[in-house]
Amino acid sequence: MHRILIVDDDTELCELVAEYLKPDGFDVTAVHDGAKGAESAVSGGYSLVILDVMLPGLNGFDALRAIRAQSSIPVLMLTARGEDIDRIVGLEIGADDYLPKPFNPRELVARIRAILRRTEATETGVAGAKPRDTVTVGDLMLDTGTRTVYRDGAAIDLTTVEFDLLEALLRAAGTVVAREDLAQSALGRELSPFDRSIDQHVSNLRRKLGARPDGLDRIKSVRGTGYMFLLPSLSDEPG
Amino acid sequence: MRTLFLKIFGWFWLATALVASTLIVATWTLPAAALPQPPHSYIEESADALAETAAITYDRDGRDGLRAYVARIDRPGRLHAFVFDGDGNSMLDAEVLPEAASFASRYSFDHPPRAQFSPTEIVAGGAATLADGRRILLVTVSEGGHASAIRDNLFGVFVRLRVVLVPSGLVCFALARYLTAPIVKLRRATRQVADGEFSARVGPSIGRRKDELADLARDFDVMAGRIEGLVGTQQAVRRGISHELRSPLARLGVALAIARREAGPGADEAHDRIGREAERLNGMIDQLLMIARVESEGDGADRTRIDLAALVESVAADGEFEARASNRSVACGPLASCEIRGNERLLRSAIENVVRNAVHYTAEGTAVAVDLRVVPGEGRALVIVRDHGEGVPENLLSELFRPFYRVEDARDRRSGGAGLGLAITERAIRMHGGTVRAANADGGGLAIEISLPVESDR
Repeated sequence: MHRILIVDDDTELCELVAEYLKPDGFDVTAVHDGAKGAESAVSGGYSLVILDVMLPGLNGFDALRAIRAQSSIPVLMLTARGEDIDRIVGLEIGADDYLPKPFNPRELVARIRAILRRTEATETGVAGAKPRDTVTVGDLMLDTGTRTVYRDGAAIDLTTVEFDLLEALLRAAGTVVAREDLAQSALGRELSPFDRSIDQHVSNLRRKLGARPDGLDRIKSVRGTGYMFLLPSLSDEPG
Repeated sequence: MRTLFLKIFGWFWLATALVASTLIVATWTLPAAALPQPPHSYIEESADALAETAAITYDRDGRDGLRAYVARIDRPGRLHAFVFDGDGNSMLDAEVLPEAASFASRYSFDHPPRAQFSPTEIVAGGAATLADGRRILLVTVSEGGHASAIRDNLFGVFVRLRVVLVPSGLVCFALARYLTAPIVKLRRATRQVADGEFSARVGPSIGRRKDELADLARDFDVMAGRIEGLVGTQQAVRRGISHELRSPLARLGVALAIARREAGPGADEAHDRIGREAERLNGMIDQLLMIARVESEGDGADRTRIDLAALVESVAADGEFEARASNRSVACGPLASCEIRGNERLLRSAIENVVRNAVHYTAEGTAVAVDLRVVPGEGRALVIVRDHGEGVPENLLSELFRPFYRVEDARDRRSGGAGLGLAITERAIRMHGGTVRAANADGGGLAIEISLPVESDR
């Protein structure tokens, strides 16, 4: 039984979601304002938080910032349909995924499952089931054990999704990784049409990683296919 | 930006400079007679007095005394004196200036001529009588004449000109500043408002000024305030629609899913219907919000360089994904590489609507063709989306882009959407300086052609 926190000021919707999710094995607790939501998310021992963007008082983004300041608990944002900016900001602050509202409840269950599957895999990885591993490309070093990325020895703060995305790209550095494959490995789900979330995550990742020492982009988009992490030119290779 | 300032400053300064220099040039060029001159009588009287003294000196000390006296009067380079006897012959052996000689030759003791003024010298004569009754004539030649007065003043003229130009320049500068500063501020605020920054105001920076420009600035503030209010209301209404209309729909969606689960397969058809209707409402809200957004953001500052080929390709790929479900497809032709400047979200939505529309109307088993061409020389990119459907009657082609317009067709009413898709496209494309055209393609089907200005490489 997974305990899920839903933060949404629409009490009736919360009740319906709780009712809908129960047979799927989710125990849903509802909170109706941002400040309390952030508090419960950090302290309550939940597996996942469903966070609405439009909240009275502390809005969804501020609540997410408050949560991220203390916890890496998975957060699924509910954004207003058509408001891309909500999605962009949400993913940038560190939401694990988003779902435009009104949503299809089956899609909600699928997203929750995908996020939980991913975080559980990560946790068992930390517990030692998956051997600790590092990937180094140019001045970047990714440590799957601590789930940290270093650029020239300095740690870069990445969200879970960005880390998984970078890992997938780095492991295949120099070759093109399809957007669908990236969605599978970073989001744990298939891309639906008109879904730009992978592109958004990649763009956040680009911004956080910065340009290469030689000024080139690290991640190249390959039109219609996906993305490629460029291998550093030979002169930049350390050692 | 600075040109109005420069114009006002330049013209006013030029005007004062012209007035000043006209005065000076006039002084220079007007005939001597028109100028105030030292009175003849004064010069003639002093010549007479000099002649008197010369006569007394000659009577007392003879020729040597006279020579010494003349030498004393002489100021080299400025004033020379010559003494002639009654016959016009020089009484001294010193060289005589030609001006003095000619004056003496014309001299008549009965009708003494007036002093002569010329640009180069002033010649005057004075007569006296010696003790023995002979008459003598003393001629003074002042070098330089009235021209020297001007020449002496030329330096002064330039000083004066500078004295005129510097303060007049300062005054003109201040005047130009005073007139243009509020215009510059107004313009800055206008630009801010145009860029969507509706809180921009001019009033505080205008201060306590009271004139037409200040009134204009204050009126601008009132106008900006009204626009800010209207836009604020519009945005609030938009957010409100987005939130308030969708909340019940969100609840409906979850309730429907629960009902579906509880009721079992018997009620599937009705449930599907409810789901479709809810989705249709959602689609309409999406489109209404989108059209409001096109109006409010279309010409805003949110413009970037967009790789049009990549955009078209990704829209086509999404369309293909959607089309596959209904046994149709979207095929990309060759895509010319080009960049345009615009709001990516609006453009994506504009092209997406056309592609989705085409997927919707193309016959089952056919493919929608999407092409991107660049018209060389015209700097335009053409996105052509062609379906293999039934097309549209010629006389209705231009109606397609009207909001809420629907071609009467049974399939249409099942389709959801509010008939706003192509209207959104038309507006979004127009905001980007482009055009949309619909035509029935050769061999059936509808072709929609979007033409957009290409961003040049520079």
